[in-house]
Amino acid sequence: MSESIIQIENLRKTYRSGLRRAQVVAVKNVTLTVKQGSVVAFVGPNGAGKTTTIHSLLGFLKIDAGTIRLFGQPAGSAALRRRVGYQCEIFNTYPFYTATQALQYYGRLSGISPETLARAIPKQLERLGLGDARSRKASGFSKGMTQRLGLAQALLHEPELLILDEPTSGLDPEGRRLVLDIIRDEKSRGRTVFLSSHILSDVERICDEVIMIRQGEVVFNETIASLVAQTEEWAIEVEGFTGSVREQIGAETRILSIIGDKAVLLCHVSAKRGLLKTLLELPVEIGTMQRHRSGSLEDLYMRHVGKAE
Amino acid sequence: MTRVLLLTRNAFRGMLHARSVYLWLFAAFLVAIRLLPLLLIPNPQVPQGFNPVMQQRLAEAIRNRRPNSMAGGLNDWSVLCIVFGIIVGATALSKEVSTKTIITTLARPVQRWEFLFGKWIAIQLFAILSLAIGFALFQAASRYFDVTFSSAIWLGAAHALVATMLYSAIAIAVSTILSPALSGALAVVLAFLPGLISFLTEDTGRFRHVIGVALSYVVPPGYSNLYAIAVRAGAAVDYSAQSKTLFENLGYGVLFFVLGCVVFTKREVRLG
Repeated sequence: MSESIIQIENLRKTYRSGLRRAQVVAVKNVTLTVKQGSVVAFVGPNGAGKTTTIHSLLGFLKIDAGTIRLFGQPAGSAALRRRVGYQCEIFNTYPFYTATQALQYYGRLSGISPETLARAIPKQLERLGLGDARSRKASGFSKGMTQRLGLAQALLHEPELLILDEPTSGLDPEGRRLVLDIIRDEKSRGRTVFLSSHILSDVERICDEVIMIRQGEVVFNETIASLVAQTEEWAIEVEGFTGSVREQIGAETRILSIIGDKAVLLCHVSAKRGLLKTLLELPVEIGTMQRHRSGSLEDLYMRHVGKAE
Repeated sequence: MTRVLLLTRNAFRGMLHARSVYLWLFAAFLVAIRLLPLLLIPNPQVPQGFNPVMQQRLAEAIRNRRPNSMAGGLNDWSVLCIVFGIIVGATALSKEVSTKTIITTLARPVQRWEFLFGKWIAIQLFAILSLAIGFALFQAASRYFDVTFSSAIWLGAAHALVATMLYSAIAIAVSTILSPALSGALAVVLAFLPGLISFLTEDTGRFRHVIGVALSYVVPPGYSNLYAIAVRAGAAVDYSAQSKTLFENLGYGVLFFVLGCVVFTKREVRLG
């Protein structure tokens, strides 16, 4: 069984806000685990508590209750931060640095020697498509370039855990694909990735697990594989579809479309064999058969998170 | 130590980027205003028609106007360095928070005290550089105007540096819990209080005297202008008392800075 890299149990975090110091609950009760080598998405609407959870994880915030463990140890120590690469939602660097200088600064702060950095920085900039901009001031970068520079600084010291807050926001399709490829690549190298994102199609494409948070509470936690298994169906084309056929195929078989006597039937993966047996005994012609997803991650998101909004 | 050096260099570059060098231009402008009358009217006559006492005072003022202008200019330059320390110290943390650069730095294995220490050291380096430029300018001016300073001038420079260190430490420490405006204001109030305290402690009224004594325990002695003494021929400086003041200021500076570090380590880093 793989090691737990992040373990959060019953996390609660409140703020005092305004002149009356009214209590605002940012995170009510969050419990989650991130296993080594997995890519886990942390999704939820704005203000759900994603960034608060991440900042608590990095030791920026003092939690009211619960426990947070990183690599099996209480989170917040400098030694643990050495093993983490973090890209914040809106990455900003000092305007007087070029891309190379910014990475040199962050790399040295992470304890990397100048010799290693001299080799690693050009590679990392090339990897993120910033090779031509290595000598340009970061203050003149576009939003997408700044985001990619933010990812480069997070990857530079080859951390075991990557925490990425909205890594693809503000990127064009090409940049988005590049970042997703890098996340996949990092996973293949055995790194653990914990990312928060609003772009559910990205989450579906690269993540192993999805955790949904709403109003400071985890409302959904499932692996993408099991989600696919739950929502995957077979679409079977049938010719000679009549009312009597409809009665005999059973209520669990759904009809996607009917044009004339042609129909497309939908059944869950587990019911495919039974349906085919029934159809073979009926006066119909069976046409093409293909896999079909009945529900996307977005549907699930709307079901679990969307109704609160 | 490497991290502190990196943070110091980064903060120093930040100061240069923020056009802090304009401070030198502004200081040079002030000095020019101070010295311009010496150039325009090199040998003024003592005005006639006043009573003898006034006549004598005017004659003395005219005689000493060159050394006094030089001492005043040096004092202006030093006070500007202290003000600069307060402003940069008070805004150092809030600027990092507002630009969100603090998050990326503190997500690395950087201790919070290292972060503050780097900023503080950078302010001292900038103050040393500023004072060095000021002293070089005044060295040239004093040669031109034939004014000589005693060795007490170095003690004056040490006072300016230690005061910059003290008030920038206060501004940084307070900025860990209060806004930059309040932090700067508090540091300025503490810089002005020593004058009030000496007035209160010398007061014959018991109540005011007690308040003065109580405040003298918590408020650092602050900046002493020694340039006026250094420029006066034969004026004696009480080195032992001045050294004591210097060390007291230094001690208060370190104390405030350590307190600031402790508070910053305990507090949350919230981006608003």
